[in-house]
Amino acid sequence: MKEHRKTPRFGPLVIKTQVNIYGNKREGFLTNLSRAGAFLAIDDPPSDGAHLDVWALLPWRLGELRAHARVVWRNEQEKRDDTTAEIVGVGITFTELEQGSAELLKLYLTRFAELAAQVE
Amino acid sequence: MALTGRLEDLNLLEILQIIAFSKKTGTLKVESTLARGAVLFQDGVVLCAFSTSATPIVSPLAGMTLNESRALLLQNEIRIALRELIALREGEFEFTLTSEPPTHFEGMDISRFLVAGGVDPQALMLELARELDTARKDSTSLLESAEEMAKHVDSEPIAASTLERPEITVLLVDDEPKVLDIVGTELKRSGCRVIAASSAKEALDQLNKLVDSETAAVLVTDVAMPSSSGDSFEGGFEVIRKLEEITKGRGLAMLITESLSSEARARARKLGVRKVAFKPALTKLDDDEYAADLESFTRILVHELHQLVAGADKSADQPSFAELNDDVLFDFLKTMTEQLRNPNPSIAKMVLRVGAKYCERTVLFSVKGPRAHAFAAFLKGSSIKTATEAVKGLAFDLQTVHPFAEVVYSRGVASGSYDTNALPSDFDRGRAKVYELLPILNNNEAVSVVLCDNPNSGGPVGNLAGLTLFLNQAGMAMENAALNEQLRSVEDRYSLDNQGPLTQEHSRVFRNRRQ
Repeated sequence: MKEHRKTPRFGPLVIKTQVNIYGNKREGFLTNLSRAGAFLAIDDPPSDGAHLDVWALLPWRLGELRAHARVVWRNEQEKRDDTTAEIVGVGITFTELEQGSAELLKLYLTRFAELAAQVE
Repeated sequence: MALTGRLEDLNLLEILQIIAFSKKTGTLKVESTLARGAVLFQDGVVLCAFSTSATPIVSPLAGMTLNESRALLLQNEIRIALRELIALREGEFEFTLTSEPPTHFEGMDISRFLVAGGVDPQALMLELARELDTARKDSTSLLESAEEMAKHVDSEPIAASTLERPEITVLLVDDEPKVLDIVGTELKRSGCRVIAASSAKEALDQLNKLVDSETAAVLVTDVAMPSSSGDSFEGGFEVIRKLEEITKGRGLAMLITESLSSEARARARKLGVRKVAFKPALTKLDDDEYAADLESFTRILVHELHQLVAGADKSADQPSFAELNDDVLFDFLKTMTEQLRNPNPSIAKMVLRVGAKYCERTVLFSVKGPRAHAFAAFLKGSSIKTATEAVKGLAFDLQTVHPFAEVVYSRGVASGSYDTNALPSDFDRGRAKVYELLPILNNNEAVSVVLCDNPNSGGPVGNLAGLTLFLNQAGMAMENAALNEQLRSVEDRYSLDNQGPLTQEHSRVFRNRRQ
């Protein structure tokens, strides 16, 4: 099934991240990553509208991702069906990607998509 | 096109993510010397997973009726198998596409082991990534117990080593005089002691002499030369066999050859050869050109030799033969390595003790996110407490301090000069001019960096082969400790009283794995 979104989301992709929520440094995992935002899996998720700084080391030694983000939706508890585990976290949108981060993120997602395309 | 490659290049978690994202159906096979297994996908969803130790647990499920608890057990089985496979750091993988979900694997009907609807890959990947992260933190905390240790340690300084650095002695065997001459000269120039032999027979005599004088050597030999009896033209193998015999499998041997058939390569591996280096072919009419090629070849050979002795070759999990001539150092390393099985008081303290045998100062850094911070140190003439106090609060940004970043990202050893690769000014270099950085790896990531230098004498840092070997073992010890902890928690989680024989089978396998 092809992804037709303007900024395709990379579902099962998981990247460890450190976030700074109003001075409170915490750790979580980014998933559903796209160039516009991500799902941040994190215990005790921040509230809707909260602003946060995101730092992550992109795989394959590409470099670091630094972004400012905002919480756009919140998932305190989710269980879609019997085979789905609960994923607690928040949907975030990147409000600003620091210099170089946008290119690195694009490079990473492109490389991931290329590898996925090899499985044809 | 199938997705194939090596786990060293693409780890299993990344491979699973790629297949899940591409929403494909097929079988992913993973094979390494430690374990093998398979993961079956339908439209990117994981249907089933096997691993070496999980397979015997799965078998009893075939007889069980399909119900909710069986489905739950199968899902747990997928997690157990993936957990085992994800821990593999090297090996091969191959994903083969199929049009329909696989129902057979290696001749076995697996249709009854498939989880209806599969397991949601996103939640599964997240769970596995979290577990890996927790395991890494657990192992880091093992290291950092040194901080606690430093508070209570007495002020007795660790005795610094007065032992000589182990010198690499090379037994170079080749029936081509030019190779012996040029390679021998270049090896000597690089600091090796060279014993040359121009035939298999002469090499066997030299080996006997080395045994008599209790001198250890690395054997670097050509293959294609007459054997001592003249019966075969693979005399190199005869010499290697002799080395293996007298060192009881602990000898270090390296082949230098112009070419090697797959059969000969297999035979070499079987005989314990750790490395093969291809020397220039003797077909050039121009002597000078051939000599120049041999000199270039020797430079590579020297590098390979140091890697071999340093234990950088991943198969080298035994003490290097070259170190055996220093009985005291070897016994010390052996004792310390044995203590790693039960790291008490801490792995960090052991690293500092071993480091003290190699240089005047050893500083341990913990790698956390984009920074490396110092948490324990040894300095000749000081107590651990004092040395640790001196480096407390010291932290380097891995984005700007390049030698540190190089170690963390390349997961290899790096050297630096305080003049050209200056560390931040709050780091007291003393009289040291150069430093060496070595990683401690856990799950293929650098969790710690060890800095070695000589701030008292200002001398160069010597051969760190033994320390490198010990750090490799320390990394494995941390992984084992974290894995055992993980297995204990998994065992507790899945040990349900009402599951009878299956639970017993789980426990048996877990117990076996822990032994």
